[in-house]
Amino acid sequence: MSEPAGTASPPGASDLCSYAFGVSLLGHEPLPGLLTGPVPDAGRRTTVTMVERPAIDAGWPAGEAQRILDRRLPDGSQFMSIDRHPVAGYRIEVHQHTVHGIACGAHRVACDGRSWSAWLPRGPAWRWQRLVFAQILPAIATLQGLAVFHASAVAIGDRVYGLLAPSGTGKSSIAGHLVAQGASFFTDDVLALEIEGGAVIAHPGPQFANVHAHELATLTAAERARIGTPLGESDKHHLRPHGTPRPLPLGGMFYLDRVAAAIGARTERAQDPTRRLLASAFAPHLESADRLLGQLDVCSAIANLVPLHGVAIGTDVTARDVASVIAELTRAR
Amino acid sequence: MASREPPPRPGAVRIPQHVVYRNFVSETVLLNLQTGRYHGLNRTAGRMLEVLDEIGDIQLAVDRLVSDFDQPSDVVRRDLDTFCADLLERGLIVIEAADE
Repeated sequence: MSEPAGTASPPGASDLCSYAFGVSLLGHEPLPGLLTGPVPDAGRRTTVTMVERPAIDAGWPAGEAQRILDRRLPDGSQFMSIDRHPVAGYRIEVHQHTVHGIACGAHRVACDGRSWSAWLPRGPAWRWQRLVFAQILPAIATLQGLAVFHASAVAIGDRVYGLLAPSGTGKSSIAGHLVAQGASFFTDDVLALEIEGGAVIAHPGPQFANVHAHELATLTAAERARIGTPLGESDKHHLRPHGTPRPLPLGGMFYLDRVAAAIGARTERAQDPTRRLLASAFAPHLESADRLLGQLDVCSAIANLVPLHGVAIGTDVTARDVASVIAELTRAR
Repeated sequence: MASREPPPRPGAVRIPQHVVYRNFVSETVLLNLQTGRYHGLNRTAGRMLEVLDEIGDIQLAVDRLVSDFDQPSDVVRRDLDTFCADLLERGLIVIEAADE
């Protein structure tokens, strides 16, 4: 069960180069889109090695590995797969398809998340960033003990506010409008949390925002500039936000629901917050007893320490309007 | 819900190591680490669980809960027996056989 060829030697403190989701990534060069510079070092480190495609399969015990995730496209063809072996770790692949211009890639991640070998296709970085940032790095953060949730988040002042919602509700768009209205981008679609010093601490994600074209069209030029620098587009526009966020205390969670009967957007007591928090955990296929317990501890801390708000959104309400309601509520706290 | 037989007269009640629980604002969540399944308890049941975990004996737990709930002992005992039977069925507690 060998590691792919080209694994780096154990890192020293001077090798720190990029950071996301509470994990410091050490390699020969920072990955574009990740935070760089002096980063908080909580001891969670992952050695990153760029390899050629054959190295991903070299030594991988295919006959003994278990497929734990198999995502398919509507036509039944394979989109993404994750295989696990108790010693060799995880093998993650986006198969030979380009979906909305997103390129394929293949990765090996150690069982403890402390090493990552990546085969990334040539071409613009945004083509592989979306999947690496949405799947590989969150998996690494999960394996290294962080509680990871499906949520977008922005920073307002010295607090982070998370947006939890089913897919398609518009959390990325609402987060984009919050940034356009003055908040700071923190993370898109994946939020990494931990308990530290009696508080729930949020770790920033990669600096990579995804906004629908029709939402960008509603913004003024100044608002679009606030969101970030355009990188490219697939089914969404991809932008690099400004700023260098650092870990911050979680100041609130907003549960967003599209409710046909709702008029406008109103805040209310969060409905069934416990179940929704637990159900928002990222990557259930990576569950272990320790990770489940850690997730439960963080969810309990959120419920007991962090204000939770429900936002009922009428069907004709725009993401801009919802963002305004949320921004007003954060100012009132 | 089908009626259950009350649990055997206990020597001790304990929560197995693979079952953990945490308090949320208005409920308690139990997690079976072996199955990955969550179970939600309302505030009353959550308090019952806490006392059972602390004391480890059903009758002694009844004595404590009578003052917590301000209810007659026989009512608390009945409710606690039903609660324990439910937890036992779900594999969330262990009731040791009483010594003869």
